[in-house]
Amino acid sequence: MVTNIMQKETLTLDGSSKVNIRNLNIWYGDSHAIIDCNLKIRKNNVTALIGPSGCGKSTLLRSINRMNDFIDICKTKGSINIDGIDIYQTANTNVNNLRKSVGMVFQKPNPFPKSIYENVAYGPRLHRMAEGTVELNRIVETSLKKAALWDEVKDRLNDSAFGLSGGQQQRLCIARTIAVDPQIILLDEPCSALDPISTNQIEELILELKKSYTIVMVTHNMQQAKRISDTTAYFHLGEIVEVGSTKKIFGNPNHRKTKSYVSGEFG
Amino acid sequence: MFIWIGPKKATPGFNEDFLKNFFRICSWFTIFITFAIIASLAYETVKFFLLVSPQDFFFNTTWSPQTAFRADSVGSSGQFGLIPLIWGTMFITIIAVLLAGPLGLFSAILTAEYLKPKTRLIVKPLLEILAGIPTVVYGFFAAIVLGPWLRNSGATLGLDVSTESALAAGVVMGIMIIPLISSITDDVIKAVPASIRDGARGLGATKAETVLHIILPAALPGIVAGFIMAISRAIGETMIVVMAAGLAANMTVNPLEAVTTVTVQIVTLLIGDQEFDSAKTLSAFALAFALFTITFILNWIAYRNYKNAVNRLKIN
Amino acid sequence: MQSTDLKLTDELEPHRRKLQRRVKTLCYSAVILTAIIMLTFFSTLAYRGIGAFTQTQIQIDVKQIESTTKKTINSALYSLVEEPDRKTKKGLRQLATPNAYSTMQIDEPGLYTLIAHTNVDMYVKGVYDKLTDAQRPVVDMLIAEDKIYRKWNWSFWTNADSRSPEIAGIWGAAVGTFYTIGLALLFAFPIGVGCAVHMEEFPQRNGKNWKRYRDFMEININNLAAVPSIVYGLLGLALLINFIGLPRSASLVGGITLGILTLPTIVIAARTALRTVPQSVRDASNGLGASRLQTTIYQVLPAAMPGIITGTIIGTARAIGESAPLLMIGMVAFILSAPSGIMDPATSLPVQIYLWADSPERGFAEKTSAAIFILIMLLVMLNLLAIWLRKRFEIKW
Repeated sequence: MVTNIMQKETLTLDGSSKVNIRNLNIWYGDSHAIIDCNLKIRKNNVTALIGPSGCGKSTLLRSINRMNDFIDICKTKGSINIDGIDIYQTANTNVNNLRKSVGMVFQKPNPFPKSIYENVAYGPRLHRMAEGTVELNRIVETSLKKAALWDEVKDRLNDSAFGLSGGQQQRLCIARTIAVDPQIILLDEPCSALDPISTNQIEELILELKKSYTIVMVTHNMQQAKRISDTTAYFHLGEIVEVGSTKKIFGNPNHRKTKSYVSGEFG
Repeated sequence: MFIWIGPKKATPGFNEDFLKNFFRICSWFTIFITFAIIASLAYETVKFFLLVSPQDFFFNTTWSPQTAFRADSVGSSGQFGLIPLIWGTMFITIIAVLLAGPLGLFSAILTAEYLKPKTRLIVKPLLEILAGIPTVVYGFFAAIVLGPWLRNSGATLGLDVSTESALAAGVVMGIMIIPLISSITDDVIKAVPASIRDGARGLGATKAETVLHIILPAALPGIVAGFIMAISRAIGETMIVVMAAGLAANMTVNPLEAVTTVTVQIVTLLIGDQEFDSAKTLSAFALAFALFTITFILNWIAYRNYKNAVNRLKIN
Repeated sequence: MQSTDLKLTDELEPHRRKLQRRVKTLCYSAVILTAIIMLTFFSTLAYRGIGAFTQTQIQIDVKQIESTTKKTINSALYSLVEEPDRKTKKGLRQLATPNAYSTMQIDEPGLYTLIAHTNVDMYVKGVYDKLTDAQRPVVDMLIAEDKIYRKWNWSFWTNADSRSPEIAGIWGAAVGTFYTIGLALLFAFPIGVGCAVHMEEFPQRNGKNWKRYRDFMEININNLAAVPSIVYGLLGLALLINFIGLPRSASLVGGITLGILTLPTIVIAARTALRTVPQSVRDASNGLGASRLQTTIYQVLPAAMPGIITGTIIGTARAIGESAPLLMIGMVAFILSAPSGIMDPATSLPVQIYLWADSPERGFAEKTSAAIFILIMLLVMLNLLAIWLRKRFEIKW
């Protein structure tokens, strides 16, 4: 029997947590990349994962939509519950549906070498979300609007996606992810390859998106985390040092290590 | 048009497993080809060795394949010695490499070291043209143009040159091989890291000195691999020698005489009417098996050395 | 204290300068020598082949229709000379190609054109003179009267092979090549791409075994790519003709044999093309919930297709020029008409060239050169097509 993550039953034990990561340990070969991670991601919040490079933030992110499955030397132990259902119960999880509900935007914009329309339409086609062309067009338009890209591309939907600027391409990737109607969106340093203006646009977009989706974001840019996230988790060498509301983490953190990182003393 | 392919069976659309199995079978097919080549050649060779002893085949120095007229005089009226054929093949190959080696090597040095990038973009493909010419065209050139020309020029000099001289076949074979040697040498020279060049230049070496003393020695294993591949190609080449080389086995060192090669004999034995199980016809398969084995070993050695050479250069 | 100057303005020592010059000269001469060889090569071909594109024809005036076409033509020929004796008559009869007697339709009097016999053709083109003493004055006179002339040789393109070089053409070989190569592609392309996809896109979970399997496959493919082409011919002979029993000389057999020969090239080209597609495309597709196969079919393969097709075209060009394997499976039969199906005996253009080159008839010499010229032109066009395709459709990541 395949468990469908789309069922929105609130079997959760904790109030409004959408994703509940418990005792998660991930090994990359012999290296212990994530150590005993316990993290609750709240619904319709932006949760930022910050910390120096190479601390496993991206690895953690990728474990939420099980993209680490593609890497042979990666071993995962522990549980990640989404809406109360453990996605690592291999026998029951339909991984492809999981990735439909937990979307991912990557660090470097990676549109497909196809037209703008085709980029957004690919997901819905795959998961057979549209009955006919009319409905597909509607999905594409809605997604592009939600990604704040529609006005800029509505007259050139059939042009190659590569003709867009970096910031536009990243918004296209966001539109693509939205098109399959996810509940959670994972963003892996989405602005690190973009210029400041595009970064600003994407940040505003994220603030808009959190109203409908749960957002988890990895970022190197502390100011960015401060600007747009509600909850922040500080990672160091694979362990969560401290997690709490963004105001607290940046204003008055509990840990000495957190304090020295957010004040720029190292990292 | 979007045709849906997915894990489950659905309409309209295809089930994934069908495609996955198709790809698997394609993969296995290539293994099957190798197996089929070895099996079919080996099968006929074994039948051949039942008629003619392996000793005779490998050590006899006479090649004059005849089919016995009477069933009980098998082998006594035909000589199936491989050695003169190997001799002829190697003789022509050596002539070819003597021509192609220097030409290919120095052309490659030019394209890799001396030419500006724009010129290189033009010259390199031009050299590659030689690789694209069908071998039957080379054979034509050797048999109809070069062969008679050599014979006539030889006559004016008082030399006795056969129209099917090993020289004619060897020279044309060499022309065919030039691009092989030059492109592999070019690749290997380009793979020599800039750090080594800088080291030599930093000591004040001129370009010529850098090339001769530092780069060529560093690239040598790769260049040797290229030569071995070229030799393998020359050994297996058919049309040039069928059209330009002789039919009679002849173990000579005079390039103005005619010799015959393994591939020529394979073709001669199989063209025309034949009973399929005679010693004559079967010997063609035995020859082919020997040819396959030799080129297989040479290719193996060359490929391994080439990979090692390039990897070692990249690490440095 | 500096004991030696930096010697910055001194010239290079003589022996080092000499070495510089020598090496440079050596390299340039190598390339120039190669260029000269290539030029000689192509110019002799052009020079020898140019004649085949024209055909010598004789104009005759048919004044009366005899009972048979043969007699009609002959009497028209006799009328070219005043009171021909028996020897001259014999010479006149041999002015026309033998084929004319069986193929021409003469119903009314008038002017007709006969295709000239190869001896006349060669004489007119200045290649050799084998005319009989009786024929020569007649021919010279006809040339002077403009009744013998050279016209563009259409029959070279539209006729199949023939025993008479003057009317031999490449049509049969062209159709044969078309069938054979078409079959070869039909066979090798799907299997080649399938094999490459399997090797590149579907690593299995147990890493070590898969790696060994992949290495083995890679070695296997590389070896197959270097096997002498004649061995493939023998494979075709042993497997397709002797074991399965397909007809010798059929383009079906030739097609499969050449297909097997081209397969490794396509696999290697496809693998390279697949590897060029960056991982980010696969990540994006997988991230949307596509399975591995879906990602491969919908995103990776289409993105790699330009490279795969370019590689295939280059492999096809190689296959078109192959003749040794076809000799082995018997496509050397003398084919008088173009094959009408894939089971009919056929030949291919390079084999036709071989057959003509081998022929003792000197009239075939120019045909051979011309056919070679056409073959090379075909290959040049294919290669240009490949280059154009690559420029036009290549995706710059």
